[in-house]
Amino acid sequence: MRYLSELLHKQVITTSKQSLGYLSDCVFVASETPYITKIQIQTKHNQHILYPVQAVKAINGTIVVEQCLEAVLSENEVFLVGNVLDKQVIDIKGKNIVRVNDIVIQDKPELIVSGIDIGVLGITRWFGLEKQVRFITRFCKLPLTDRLLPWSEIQPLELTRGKVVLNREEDKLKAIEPEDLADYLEKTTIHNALKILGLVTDETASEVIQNLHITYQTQIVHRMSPHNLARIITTADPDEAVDLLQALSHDKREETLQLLTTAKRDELTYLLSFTHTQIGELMTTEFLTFQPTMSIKKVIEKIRRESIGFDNLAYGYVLNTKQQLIGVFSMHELLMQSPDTLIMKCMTQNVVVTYLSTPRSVALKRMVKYRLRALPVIDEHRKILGIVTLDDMIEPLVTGEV
Amino acid sequence: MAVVGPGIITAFADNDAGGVATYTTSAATFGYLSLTTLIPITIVLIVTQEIGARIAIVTGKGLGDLIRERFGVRVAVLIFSILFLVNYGVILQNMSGLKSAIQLFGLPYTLFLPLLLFGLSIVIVKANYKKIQQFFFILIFFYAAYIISAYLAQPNWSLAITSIVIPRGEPSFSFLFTSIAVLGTTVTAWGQFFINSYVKDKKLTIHDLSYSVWEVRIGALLTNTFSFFMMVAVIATLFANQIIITDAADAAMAMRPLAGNLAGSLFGAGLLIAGLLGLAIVPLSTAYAFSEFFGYQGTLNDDFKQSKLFYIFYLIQIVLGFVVVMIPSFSLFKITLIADFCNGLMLPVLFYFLYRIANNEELLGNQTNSRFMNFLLIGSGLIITFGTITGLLGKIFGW
Repeated sequence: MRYLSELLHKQVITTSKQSLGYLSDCVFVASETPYITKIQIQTKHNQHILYPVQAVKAINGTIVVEQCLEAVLSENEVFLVGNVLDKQVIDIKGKNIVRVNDIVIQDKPELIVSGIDIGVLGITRWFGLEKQVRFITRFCKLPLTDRLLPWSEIQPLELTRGKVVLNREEDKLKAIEPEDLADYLEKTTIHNALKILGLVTDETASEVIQNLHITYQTQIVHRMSPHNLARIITTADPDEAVDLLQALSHDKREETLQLLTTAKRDELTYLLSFTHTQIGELMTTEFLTFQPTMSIKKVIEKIRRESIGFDNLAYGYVLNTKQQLIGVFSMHELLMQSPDTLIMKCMTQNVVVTYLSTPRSVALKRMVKYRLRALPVIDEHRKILGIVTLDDMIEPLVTGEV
Repeated sequence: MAVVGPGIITAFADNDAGGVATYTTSAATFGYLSLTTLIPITIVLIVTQEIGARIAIVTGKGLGDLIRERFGVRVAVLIFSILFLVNYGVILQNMSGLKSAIQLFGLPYTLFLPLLLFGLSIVIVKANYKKIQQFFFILIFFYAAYIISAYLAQPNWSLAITSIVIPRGEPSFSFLFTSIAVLGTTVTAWGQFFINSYVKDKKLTIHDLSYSVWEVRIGALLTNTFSFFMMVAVIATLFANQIIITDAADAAMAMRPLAGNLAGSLFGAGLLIAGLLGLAIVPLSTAYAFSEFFGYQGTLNDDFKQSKLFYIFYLIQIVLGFVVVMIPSFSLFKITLIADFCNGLMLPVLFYFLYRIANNEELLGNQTNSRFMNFLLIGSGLIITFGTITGLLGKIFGW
């Protein structure tokens, strides 16, 4: 994915290293799939010439083109800078929303306009200050997010009339929930779905993918590059990340794993090693363990420190010096104690557990019977391997994937 | 009648508190000679405002819209930042003008200044375009105070009227600089943005063009007629008695023993009105420009919720101005100098954009500038640049 601001005014040279001038505009087809067909070059003599996009050999650093005949504008073709950039965006009711601050271009496999940037960050990008502004706003805890509109929101017909018009009302553009976006994506083509996923933040993309139907999920991850996958997997819950990895071929899975941080890679490899069993497949490593001699105060401090980013934390597990599971406490029990009490005084010693080999139905019945929201998975030495949560257990039953 | 509004209101707002101060100083210092500047100023004002109104009517866009769309986001951010600063200076001028006008009437400004500002903000935010325009016209009506004030000062009317065309006295360099300063407070950067935005917000169409052009011309003529009376009042009193003043409030004060309490009070009332009009319109021009440059919804017909950023921008400027003016050690003199200088530097840049836009056939079709208009536009741009730079150098080196 590229921004127009990164490409515009770049030097254009021929394959024989001869300078032609600067990239001054791009021509694209005003249609459902807006392929970029030509590039416009401003020569040193201030003339504008059009080159077909097929002549473009590289767009990294300088733009390299093959020497060829000049192209001419055909019907239904419009300019990116001339007709879209900086223009007023109007919603279907004619209300001015904002201006086109930048344009998002998909560069693989072909150059296609994939959306417009209407956020403040789009403006900062033209000054080369995007990173700095992002840093400052994050530092000040201001929520400055990207505001991108996918191309599917724009009426191509109006573009030829010199207007950027959306096909819906402004209010309806407001943050679409990942679950809804997933539903929507399942109805569109894989091609479109990938484009839209490229436009949202990694967190959203990972949530959306997790919400997709399993067969569709598989199709999507197969088409994504290991690089993008790695980014999405980093933000996903461990058990969901394992699902995504499992959908990949062996080679691609290894390639993706290599792109992750060491800690994340170890965690996921560990979880992957249990996926041959029914329970192992659902197991996650989002749990915390404590020593029996810790005070309630210390326990709470550890939870605050180490459970950042956890999806859920229903129980804490207490281990003895041999790392064996000897007790469990719920968050509610924890809250009821005074700060100086030792955790061993208030934990439940009779821990309900499951093993990797336990059938799912048995584990689920156990959870229902004892009203537990998660079960620790232990091995024959009572060492804790991971936990399974109630919602992960129930999900396949609800979506009918058993 | 439907076209009446933008031309007259913008032209009158050009005589804001800062404008009144410059006209008064010029008249008090140079007497009848200062009246010869009126005709050239009227012509330049007519030309620049007419071009603005024409662009807005033909394209349906404001100056901010056009600069952003034709020159890109970088230029837009730069111009908006400068405009914001220059306008802030003008707001400070108006706010302290209003403050001294309140003091002239012996009222405590700590109570009345916030009260007036609060009332003004309520009108701008709550009322729709039509109501606000009526409010502006009520304010403008009170400019008539200058006519009575001039009458009470008992000037030599025939000498005053003939002085408009016949220079009385030796034109000097300092007169030239003062005249350019007067031109600079009449033809302003914010005025250029405001006429465009305000015409656009009125949704005039191409059928209204010829009427609108006349409305702009009448507006400029009327404004400068009132300027004439204001200057005459000053000449007959202060100049005749060789009293040197530095701002409009001083002038009103000095007028009391010479032409009577009523004349001085009316002059002060004129300043109060000028300050209010300036504080309504200058921050509005920034708010309009912000909406146009960055594409947010911004019209006086919307309520606060619909054009939130537009109104917030207006209110922020009022609050920022108020805070600074309440500082006791605040020096209006310095601010006026800096604001006038920045405005003078910005005008030629805006004239360049006006020139480019108004001569673009793609945008304006057969309504592009005539050669005469281009000549005046470029000419006044050059004169203002020259005046601003030499004026500043003069202030630095004490010529």
